[in-house]
Amino acid sequence: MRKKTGRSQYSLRQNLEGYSFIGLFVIGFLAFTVIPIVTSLIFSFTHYDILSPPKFVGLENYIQMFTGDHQFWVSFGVTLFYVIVSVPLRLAFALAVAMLLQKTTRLTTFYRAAYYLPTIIGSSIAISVVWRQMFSGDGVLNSIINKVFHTNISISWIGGEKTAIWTLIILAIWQYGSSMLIFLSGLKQIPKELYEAADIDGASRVHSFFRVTIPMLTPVVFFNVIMQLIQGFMTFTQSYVITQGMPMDKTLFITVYVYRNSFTFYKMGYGCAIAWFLLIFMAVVTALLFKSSHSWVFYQAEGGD
Amino acid sequence: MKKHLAILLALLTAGMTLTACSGGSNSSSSAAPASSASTEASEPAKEPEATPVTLSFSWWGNQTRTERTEAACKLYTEMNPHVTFELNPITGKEYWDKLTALAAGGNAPDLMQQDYDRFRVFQEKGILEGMNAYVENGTIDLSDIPEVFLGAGQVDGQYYGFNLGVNSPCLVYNKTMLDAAGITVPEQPTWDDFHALAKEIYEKTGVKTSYGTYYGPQHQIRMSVRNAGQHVYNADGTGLGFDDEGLVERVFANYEYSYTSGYGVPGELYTGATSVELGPIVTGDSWCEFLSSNQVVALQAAMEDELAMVMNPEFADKTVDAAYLKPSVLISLSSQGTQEEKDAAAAVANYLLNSVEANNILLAERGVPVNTVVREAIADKVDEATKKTFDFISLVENHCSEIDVPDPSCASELDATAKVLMDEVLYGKKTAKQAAGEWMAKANSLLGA
Repeated sequence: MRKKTGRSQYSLRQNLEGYSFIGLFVIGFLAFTVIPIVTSLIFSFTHYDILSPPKFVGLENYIQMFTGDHQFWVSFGVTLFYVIVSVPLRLAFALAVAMLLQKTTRLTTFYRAAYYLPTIIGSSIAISVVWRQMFSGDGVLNSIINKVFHTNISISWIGGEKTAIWTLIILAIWQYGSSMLIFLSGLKQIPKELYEAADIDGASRVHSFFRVTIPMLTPVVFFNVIMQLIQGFMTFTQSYVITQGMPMDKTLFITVYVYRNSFTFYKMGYGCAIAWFLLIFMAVVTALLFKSSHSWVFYQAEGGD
Repeated sequence: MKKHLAILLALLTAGMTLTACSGGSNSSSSAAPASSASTEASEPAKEPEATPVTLSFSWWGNQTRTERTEAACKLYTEMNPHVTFELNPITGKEYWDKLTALAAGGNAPDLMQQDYDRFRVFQEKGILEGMNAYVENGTIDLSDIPEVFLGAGQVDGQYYGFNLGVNSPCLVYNKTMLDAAGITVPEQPTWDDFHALAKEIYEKTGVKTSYGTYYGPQHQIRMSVRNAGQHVYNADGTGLGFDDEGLVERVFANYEYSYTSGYGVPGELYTGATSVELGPIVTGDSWCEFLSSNQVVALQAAMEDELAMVMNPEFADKTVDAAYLKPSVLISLSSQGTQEEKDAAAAVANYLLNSVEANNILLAERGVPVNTVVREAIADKVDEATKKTFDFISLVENHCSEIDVPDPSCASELDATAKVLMDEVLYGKKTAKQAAGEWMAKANSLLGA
């Protein structure tokens, strides 16, 4: 008996200790993640102008979104295009740089840090100024083109209705740092013997890249695709800071449209509804990717011949 | 022992984080009596009956504004030791989110900077204190403030805010550039004058003209409608205050002209120009820009060439002056504090409005002071660009009509639509007629909803 109470007292104390350590996180998680998510779902069924109490309107926001809001579809289309183009390009670029950085030299750590830098700089005001300087009519890009090809063009890439989105895509590709690091560690996991074996079999470097590197890397590719897709759909600052959706909503990302509705147009309920649409759409895309992964992702542990 | 220590530490950290949010006000209010007690001891019987009071004060703005406001409040505490401040500057767009949250929790700052378009909402929710009583008992002195500056802060005859700085829409131009070309701009141009200037300047210098793109089309629509003696929105914000589509079309026609004539700055130049300092007037692509007069100070700081200001162009067939004076910011009192806090806050509002000492520190950073004595007293202390805004406001004072009532909340959405329509006209995608038609349709659907 005595022994038992002592034990439970001890475990109670031990539990308390544990709870006190995770307590902060749990409180934070509830207050800043779970509760806001649930509230936003509730708000999505209301008209809510932030200052007066929300009014329940059922599915009206969703109906309006799908049937009466041209701009919503514009922004959804822009976002979809941006994600579909920028994610593969960014991953390809990240993989290419990771391959280059695989070889260890004395400067490797410096290079890794340097190539990661754009990702940290992110989409600050400073970048928005730089991007304008690069892609405006008398910008750096035009100067280079004119010097190399002896032309005399002054196209404003950032202001062009067809080209504006591409300047943001280039920015996305440029910020490949985190995918690159993940690829790098993935590349290091591939056993050397496989390359040696391929070499002995007379495979060229191109061959061994497609037959060894890529298949062995598919789990990492899969992970990166999922992460980058989610990140891509949630891209906000590029559009918000650099172009503000201009020109003519050609760079209006759906997240910026959510923000505008919620905070600028005082339609928090409608903003929440769009956010929930985006969440569900992303969940479906991710689920489809997971489904498809059986046919193209190769796990070493599963074995194979 | 070690384990106990670990638990204790964990609990302490948790405790500290939990109390941190509420700690601020407690600690400063408990510090207040101590400091005032010590100063009272050194200067006995200055204000023996005054009970110590701590006032919270929130505003938005840049670093200069924050530093100057802090200095002015410090001076006030030196003169009135029983009043201490809990200053809470909040930068940028977060200001309204935070202020809304504070007010919803019954903790609106005793003194808050308000914006003309938003303060009506706070007033309707009962968050702002009516200040007529303070005017009547002399706490707030309005004797040196012209009537024209006071209306904007009134709702149904009751003062809910006082204008801390006056603003007016202007046409700002590169004086150095035009002087070199021997071109002068009239003080009150019409749109016909403006089109002629655009042509002349392009032919003489090759520099193009900004047709009001930075300030947005909504502003020019407002001016156009006011020129016709009407208002964009009706008095209770439930519909448009006019029904002549031509008043909108003539604004889009200006953009259309700027595109078809080739004298206007192309729309491309505006993408990415997210602040005044990045606009085409700074890069030399345009000789002019449409701004609020107080923004000219920041614009001048970003440019070497000298700037000058004239009034926003108006339509030649106008029946009424479209120009108006607008408070760049208002100072309001919270209705949620105690009586002592409100009384003390009213005295501080009076200090900010009327004290030359205070305005020697603030130096018109919030816009031209409304108190004429203050304005004269600091006129030679402010920098050259600010001085020009003083002169500009004096000019507008004689050629303006009363400001519109604050816009309904859907105005920001209509504004965003108007910007896209303007872009489409500037890119040659739509005619002025189409744009005006779509604007009217959007306005009616937003207001009808």
